[in-house]
Amino acid sequence: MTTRDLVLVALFTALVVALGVIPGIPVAALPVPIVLQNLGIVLAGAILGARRGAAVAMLLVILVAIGLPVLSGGRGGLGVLLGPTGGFIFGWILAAFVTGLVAERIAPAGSSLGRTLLGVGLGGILGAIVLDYAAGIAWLLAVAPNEAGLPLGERLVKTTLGMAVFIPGDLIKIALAAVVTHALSRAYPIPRR
Amino acid sequence: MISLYQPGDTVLHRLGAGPKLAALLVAGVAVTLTTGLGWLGAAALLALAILAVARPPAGLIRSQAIGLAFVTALILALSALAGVWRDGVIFVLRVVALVSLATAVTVTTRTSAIQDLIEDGLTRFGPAGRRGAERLGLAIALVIRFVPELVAHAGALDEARKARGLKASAPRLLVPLLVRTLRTADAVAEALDARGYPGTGPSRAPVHPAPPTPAAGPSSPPLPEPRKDPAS
Repeated sequence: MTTRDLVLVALFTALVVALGVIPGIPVAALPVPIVLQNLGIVLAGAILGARRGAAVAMLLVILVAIGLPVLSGGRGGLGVLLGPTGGFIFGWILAAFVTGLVAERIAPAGSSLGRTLLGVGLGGILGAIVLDYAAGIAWLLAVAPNEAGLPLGERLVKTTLGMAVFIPGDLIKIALAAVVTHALSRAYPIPRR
Repeated sequence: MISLYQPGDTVLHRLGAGPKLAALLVAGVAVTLTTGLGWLGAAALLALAILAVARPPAGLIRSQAIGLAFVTALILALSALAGVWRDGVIFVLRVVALVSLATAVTVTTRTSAIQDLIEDGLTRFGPAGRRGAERLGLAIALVIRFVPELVAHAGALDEARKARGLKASAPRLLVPLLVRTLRTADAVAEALDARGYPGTGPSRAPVHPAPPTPAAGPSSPPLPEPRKDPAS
């Protein structure tokens, strides 16, 4: 990792933190403004690539752990990591890595908007939805008791359905991330690796 | 950015970061393995009492509680629907115990003490680990330094947008904000290399040479002061 990589990771992490501070942005299709912080995680993978993107998420987790209020709404500290939604935050590392990996393969820098939508879209869905939710739900199920002896499959389905309300918002964010990645690659291209 | 640490002189403040984190880990495992309602209720009360000793700021409690209330309400509703309300109660008690204890540790432990612990851990892994620890320290310092600046820049971009009578949109904010972030990163990397900052290797040449206009050259010292602290 060169100095430039290190500084890119640190400043991108600062951007993700800043996205948690500034107020949400209204999106036509949604009733509530969206918080841009987890969009920042997808952007980290899509713009910086798999390795540096994952480093951004890792640095963010360390900042939370040492007790800085870096998550949206000024949350932070070990309570957030150990809380029921901690898995989603650890899952960001995987999310950024996989988004970057898929985006690098399908839509290298300078790709058309359609290709970028495909690459960042697929990577984002796999990383920020499938894998991040898997990490979050696995964590949640590890903390949640199962006195009634429900089969694991049934618990998985029920928990996933409970989380499904967030998926439309996440899909919109991933599409926005693709549009932003494409616009940025024309305004200020940087090599992903 | 202001740390969640609250200066004080309680028993919890005097305990070392290492023992506190170890105790938190043990408590976490114990609470996750216990299913007795009585034990868990006692653990949750004890954890709340410990948190009260730590005297956390009201704002922190509020922001943590809002997120927690949502998840626990969801779980309680789901477990009641499934006819397993006892599971729901166990879950809520576990979460209250764990989150209260963890928050007590965060509130009473200096950010630098936990950072030292992580860096000490890394240093054990030989020269590569030492380099990692130095880089981590530099990265954390850079994040803390640049968050207020990026927040202020986002505010300026939003005002510019309003002045033009445009609607708020994510790309309209994010693209210029990202350009500023990447450009600043190039300038900072160049400055670090020029000073031979320890713990980092040589950079590749920046992709974009620093722009000549002073307005767009965030590397030129002294850097502008952040307008306000977002986390205060």
